[in-house]
Amino acid sequence: MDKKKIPKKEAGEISRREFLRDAGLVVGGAAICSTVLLAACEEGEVTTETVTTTVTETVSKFVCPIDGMEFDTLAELQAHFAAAHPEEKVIPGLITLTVNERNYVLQVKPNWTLAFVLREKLGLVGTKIGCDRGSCGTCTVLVDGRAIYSCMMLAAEAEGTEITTVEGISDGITLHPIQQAFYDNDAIQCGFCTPGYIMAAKALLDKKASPTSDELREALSGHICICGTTKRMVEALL
Amino acid sequence: MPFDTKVIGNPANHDKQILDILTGRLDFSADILPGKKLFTRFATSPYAHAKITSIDVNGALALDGVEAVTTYEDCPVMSDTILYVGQEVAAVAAVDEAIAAQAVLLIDVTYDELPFVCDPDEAMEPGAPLVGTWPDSNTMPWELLRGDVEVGLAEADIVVEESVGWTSYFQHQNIEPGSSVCYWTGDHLYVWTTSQSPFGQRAQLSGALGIPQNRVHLISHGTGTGNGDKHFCEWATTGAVLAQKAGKPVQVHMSRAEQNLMRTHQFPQKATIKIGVKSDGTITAIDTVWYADVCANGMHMVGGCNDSIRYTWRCPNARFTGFSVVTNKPRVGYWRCVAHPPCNVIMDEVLDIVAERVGMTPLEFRLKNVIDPEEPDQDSGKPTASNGIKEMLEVCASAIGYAGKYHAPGAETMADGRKRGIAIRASADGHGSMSSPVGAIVNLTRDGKALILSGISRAAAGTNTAHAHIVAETLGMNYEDVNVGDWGNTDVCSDGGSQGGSTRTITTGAAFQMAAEDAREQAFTTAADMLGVPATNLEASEGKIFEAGNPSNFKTWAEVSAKTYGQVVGRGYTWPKELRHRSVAGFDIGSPCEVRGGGGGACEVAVDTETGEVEILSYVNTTDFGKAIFYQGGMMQTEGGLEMQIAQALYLEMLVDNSYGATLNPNFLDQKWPTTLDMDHGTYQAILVESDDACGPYGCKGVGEPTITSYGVVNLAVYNATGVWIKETPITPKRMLEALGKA
Repeated sequence: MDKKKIPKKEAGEISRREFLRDAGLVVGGAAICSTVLLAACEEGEVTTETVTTTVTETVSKFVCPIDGMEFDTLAELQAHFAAAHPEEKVIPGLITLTVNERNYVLQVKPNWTLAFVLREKLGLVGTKIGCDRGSCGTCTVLVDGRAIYSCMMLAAEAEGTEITTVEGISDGITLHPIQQAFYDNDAIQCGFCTPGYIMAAKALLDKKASPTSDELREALSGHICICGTTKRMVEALL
Repeated sequence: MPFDTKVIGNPANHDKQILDILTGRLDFSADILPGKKLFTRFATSPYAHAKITSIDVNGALALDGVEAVTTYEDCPVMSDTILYVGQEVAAVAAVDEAIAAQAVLLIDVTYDELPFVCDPDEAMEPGAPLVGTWPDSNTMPWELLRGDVEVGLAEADIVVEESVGWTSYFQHQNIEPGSSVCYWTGDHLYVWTTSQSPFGQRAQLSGALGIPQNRVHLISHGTGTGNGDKHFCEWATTGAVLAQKAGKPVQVHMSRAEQNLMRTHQFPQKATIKIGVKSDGTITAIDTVWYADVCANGMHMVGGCNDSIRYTWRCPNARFTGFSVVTNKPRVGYWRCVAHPPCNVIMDEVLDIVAERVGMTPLEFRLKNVIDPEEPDQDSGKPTASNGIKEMLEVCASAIGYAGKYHAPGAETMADGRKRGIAIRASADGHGSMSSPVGAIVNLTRDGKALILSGISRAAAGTNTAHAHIVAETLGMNYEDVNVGDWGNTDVCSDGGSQGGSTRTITTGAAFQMAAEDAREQAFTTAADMLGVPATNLEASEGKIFEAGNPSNFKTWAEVSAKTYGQVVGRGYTWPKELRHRSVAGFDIGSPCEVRGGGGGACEVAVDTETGEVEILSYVNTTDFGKAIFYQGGMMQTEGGLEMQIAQALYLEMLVDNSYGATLNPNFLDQKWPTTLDMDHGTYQAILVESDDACGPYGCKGVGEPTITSYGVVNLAVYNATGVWIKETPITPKRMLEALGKA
């Protein structure tokens, strides 16, 4: 499948939620290094350019897990921790998650799932929660290239892995080939299960560009689509 | 006569929100991220029937991270009278769901247990415990009579009496469960919610909380399917109460178990049907006694089952005697209709039994007795605006190859030893015909485009995309020049109605047609001056406004909109008299119209008589669209309806242990939906039938519910394969083996 361009006027619209998120989100950590896609447009043609930069995001307080003191920056917490609790080797609950090629340092509780942290702490709400018990597939993300139910993985377990969510496969202007195939085949209905199916398909297609029908059905079989769009999704990907 | 349309029915047109969906950007309610959002879990009753004598929430409130608790004592959608296992008695808001779940366990409730009954047959017996829904009985009657049934039965050469049921009890299992985010600013409530009825839900919240509707600001953008479960959204009221108590935004996003226990369910039905026929197959009388197990909340659903005698089969003498029966089970609601899909399962089995007794094939018998499009409604006497049922039967028969494949029951054994069978059915229903008054708004932008405000939620159907089609067609604009500005936003849009009864394309669509006509009329006033011709002499098509008969005298929409006196806002509502733009045989069809929705299906099955496994070999699903407005949306509804029919025929069943009322499988693992491994898509066909409705805008009619009508065809095909009737749904291997006498 070729990566096709979509008309800019449709793709360039900013959704209401995105606006709200920008206005109100507090990210529980700092992005200390990032790869950002910049879009430059001329005559309706969309091009992309990749640059590396350092991004500072809105940061919530960093809390010392021993004495509850709050700090504005990670560095301040680390300095405090080293001084006040020299007997502790590491700061408990402080992890680094690599999501969509960005590193996030954040404090998590041991029972927070990856799905919860992606959505509620990093604002990556394209990953949906349908059952929270590993039985519907809507929360599927890629962890080191494998399709994983993010509701069944603890955030702390995901440290050291490369995580990809639906937000990471396109910039919203140029669609990923899987998204483009779904677009061409109108393979959506309510849209709640769609990101999960897309990520499961990506896990397969990244390994095998031209799977058989049986392989594709197997790869998508951990998902449920109540609207009944599976025929179109399968046909779009074959 | 069909309209010559430029935009409507074009397969190249995409859903207006498809890019938001594919990129994960469509905002479902839980995707709203106000700072310091709290999360909710519910405490539910372990008893099927009880009265709460005391509740102590101090243990929950003392838990670190818990910010608010509400119970039946201060939450208007909860009660101290318990009617089923799983009824909510309290809810906790905490900083994360794990803490909320832990806090639920610390709520101390004391119950006074009361006698209960979960089996509907037992509930109807004399001396059965009172369920508690109705004051002095567990049943409520409903009747419909046409002609004289005794006379009709006396005229018959053959009288057949059969009982079928119970059909299955199951939860909608919408992939997005009940979900809302609520917060307060002063005495204004802000709610993002999944919904099928944004304005209805605003009214529910206003009523429950005692605040005016203009202080409830409700937005329903993404809705992860509704299927009838999201008309009533009590969870949002609970969220609003918790948000007020906590002084923080509160999210309610139900767990799958909460969804299964607290939300509504498809209700089981059973019936005894007596049909009289002449020896040539003409039906002379239908006498039915129908039962609906309407569970603990006791919606009087049995009336909906009278579809069986009303819309499809010509019969001068018919009687429907119905009883709703309450039981102490999780409550019922709408499931893509009140009642007609399972009621057709029952009716179709009896019709096939009658056909066999008369010596006709099921298809011949149906074609003999089906109401023709030109026949008036049997009960009201009004003409119907369209009726595609006969055409659907013919289309299904042709697509599945019925003529060459039908055989005597049990007569065909496949090479692998399995039994093969085929069946066909179709029915009409009343969908699309009724709706409370709704409104629509069309804004013209000064660069010659249009932006519509559609006051409905975005359930799977892509209905606001259908509205964009109607507006583009009416304005004579290109499809890409009409966009959906906002929808499901009660502050901005006009009430578009509740997404039920398959009415939103036909009824709200008619309002959008009128709004577009209103906007066009305003723009034509300006265009008339620019073109030097009277406004009455103008037409618009493909982005241009031009003199009728002289298309070279034109201005583009952009040229005209730039000159209008202020921005044009078009307003429409349903049903104004002038939108009843076509009449049937000179008869004013009135409002609401007699619209006949309908669905038809055919399938082939293979039955393994050793394991009881039923495989669908091929499946045809047709829906009578009148006219497909948003073609791809219509096709997806029919394809999706096909998959949902397979789910209902073979999979969906919520199991309740009647000895104590507990649901045994409140999850996706034990209440399974078919996946890509369970379906053989290559053998499925979805076909639109366009009967060109005389009432709906551009000939359309309601389709959402008719798309799932036909799943009983699997029971019919299993009979044709094996010669054995399965009189319940779904057809599990266990039921199949029991019917074969092998279990």
